[in-house]
Amino acid sequence: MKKSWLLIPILFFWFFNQKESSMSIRPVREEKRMEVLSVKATQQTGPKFETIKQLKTQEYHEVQRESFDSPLGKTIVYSFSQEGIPIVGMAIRMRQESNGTLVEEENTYRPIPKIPVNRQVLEEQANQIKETSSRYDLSSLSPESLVILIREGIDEGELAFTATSTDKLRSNHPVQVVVRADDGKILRKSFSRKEF
Amino acid sequence: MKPQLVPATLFLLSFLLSSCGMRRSQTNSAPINLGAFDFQALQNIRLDRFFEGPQAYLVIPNPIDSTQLRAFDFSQAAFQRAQSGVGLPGLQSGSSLDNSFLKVRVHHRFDSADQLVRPQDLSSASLNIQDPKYSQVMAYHALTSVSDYVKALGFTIDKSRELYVMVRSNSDPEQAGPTETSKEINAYYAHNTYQPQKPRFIQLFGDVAYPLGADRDVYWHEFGHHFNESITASRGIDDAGEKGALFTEGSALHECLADYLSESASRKGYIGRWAARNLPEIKPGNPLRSALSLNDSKNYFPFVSAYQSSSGAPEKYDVAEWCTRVLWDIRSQFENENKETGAFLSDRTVFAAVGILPKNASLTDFKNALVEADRSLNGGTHANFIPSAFSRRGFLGKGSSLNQPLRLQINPVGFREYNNQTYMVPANSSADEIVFALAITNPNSSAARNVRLQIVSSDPAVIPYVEMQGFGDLAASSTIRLSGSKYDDYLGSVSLALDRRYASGRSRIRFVLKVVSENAPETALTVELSL
Repeated sequence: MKKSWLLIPILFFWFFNQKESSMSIRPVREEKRMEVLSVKATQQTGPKFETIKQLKTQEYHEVQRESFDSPLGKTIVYSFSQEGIPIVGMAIRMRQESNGTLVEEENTYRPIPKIPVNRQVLEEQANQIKETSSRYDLSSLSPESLVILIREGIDEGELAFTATSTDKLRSNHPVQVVVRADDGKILRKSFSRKEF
Repeated sequence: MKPQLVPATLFLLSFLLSSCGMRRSQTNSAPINLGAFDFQALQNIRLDRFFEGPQAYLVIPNPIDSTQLRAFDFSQAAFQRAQSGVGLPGLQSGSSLDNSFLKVRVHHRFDSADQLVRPQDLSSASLNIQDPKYSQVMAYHALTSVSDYVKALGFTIDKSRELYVMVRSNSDPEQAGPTETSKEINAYYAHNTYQPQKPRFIQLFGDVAYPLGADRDVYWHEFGHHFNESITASRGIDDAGEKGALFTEGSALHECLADYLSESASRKGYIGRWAARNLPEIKPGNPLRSALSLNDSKNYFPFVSAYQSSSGAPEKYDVAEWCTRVLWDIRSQFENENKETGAFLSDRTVFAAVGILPKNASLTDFKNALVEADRSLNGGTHANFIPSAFSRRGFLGKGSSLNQPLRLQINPVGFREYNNQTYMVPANSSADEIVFALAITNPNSSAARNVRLQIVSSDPAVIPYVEMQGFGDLAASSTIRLSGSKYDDYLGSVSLALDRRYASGRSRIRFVLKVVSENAPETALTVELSL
């Protein structure tokens, strides 16, 4: 029996000195802490809410939900439209950690009034913009490519057409433009990314 | 041993083992979060094993980098010997290489059926590398395989809109016009942020001897841009660049991450040796860009990041290449720790970090995000290594704190296009676009890090187009200058237009131009323009 009792400290010693196998992916934690990104609500113009149901959206605003998974958690994005016309510049973005903790929230929803949409008028406006455009080639502009653009400092949305175009001032570089429907004013521009 | 002592001994042993086990897990290690990590799928992609779906025959990843064509023998016989079978999973159309997300085309969205590869034509479609049909097959293979790769790492791809790939694109892929012969040789990714009804596009331009469409690297890089937008839920880590800024650290990051995805998933450490054959300025056999250190100026941050009075703001692709070398150092460290899984865990950490970057992210944001992602996913094992990988390549974060704000002088300039002529006009509402001749001086005795000029306004009478421009690091006592008489001279400026509709009876419109850097006090200048 005395010999058997010797096994216990031997096993004890063996257990503590056992090396991790080479296939292990269990790391050793370092004690030193480095600077990390702070948790922040980047923008908060809309009301606080816990779930999308608690956010009282206007009944004429349709809500679309998208979710993006990452090993760190997920980001949920709510975007809005009116009668199928996308509203650009108004969204709710929430980032959750894997344990469900909300770590970032950006809410730019605003209960803007409903915008009247008259398709016949829009078609006329689109044709007029196509005829009078000078700097941007807007020949491909379609009255179907409508968005409602939200800009800071304006309490309502602006109806605008979107189009892929070329910019004569930039050596006919391709550009995507947002053009205000009733006067052809360029409200936004964006460019593709090129490889080299 | 006496029989009655056996249970007591076993109890004591099990008690010791279980309590020791608890202590091990609490003090010695932190478990790696391996949720949604599909090691087998990653391993298959690493070994170029693509079994699922109808078979096609391609030279993977391109004839120059194929291990089957080491001698640069591009004869037809050698080419066919080098082809390997790859499965094309998820095909859902009988008339083209399409699934519910990915649509492969030649010139535009509405190509005629005879130009498109049908699933039953896969063998004949891959006979000739110059044939756009070969490029279509490569496009489908490349994009499904890289899509599977990032999914196996645990990420969701944004499939809320279709992704159209044009392997010999017309300038407007929405128009079913005649086929254009593009003089440009390049590849583009269009996220169509402001066109929510439209799909996303990858457009390859150039009917050239070394077709871009025959190179898997090209698709993996362009997909990388889409992936960046997916994992950040289109937050706009380079919002300024998408709106037309010539340089921002965010734009360099976007390119860096797109390159790194291709370089790491392919395990090559560089991209574009095949595509670069079309570019006379690159020596044959050299890559377009390399994450592996080369004997060039891209190894050390101060060589790529400084504003130069001769050439202006840094070149975003140079900063991107430097950035991929930092990421490759980190990847190599992960691989040293574990040959089997290290590279995958590195990729997962890198892209998880991208997911928590803010709008218009900086390289400092990225470094901090990498540390944060490593802490959450790997127990912070690389909390020292990650910052040191940046600092070894000359990146010191925010740099030393400066006492004096940078000095800003501006002169607004208007441009208008009329009857195909460009005119310089007064900077008021008659101008299509207002830009700024400017001088930004650093009066301090150390460099100002990541200098940017921003338009700050909540006035709807101000429509910012390019809201922010970056200029890189500005050396002590140096000045950024922008001036000229042509519109192109001001591509490095912020730009805006004035909107009479929201002037509310005012004759002058005010807004602020702000100079920010990571280590100097902000400079704010109020600008007033006549309507």
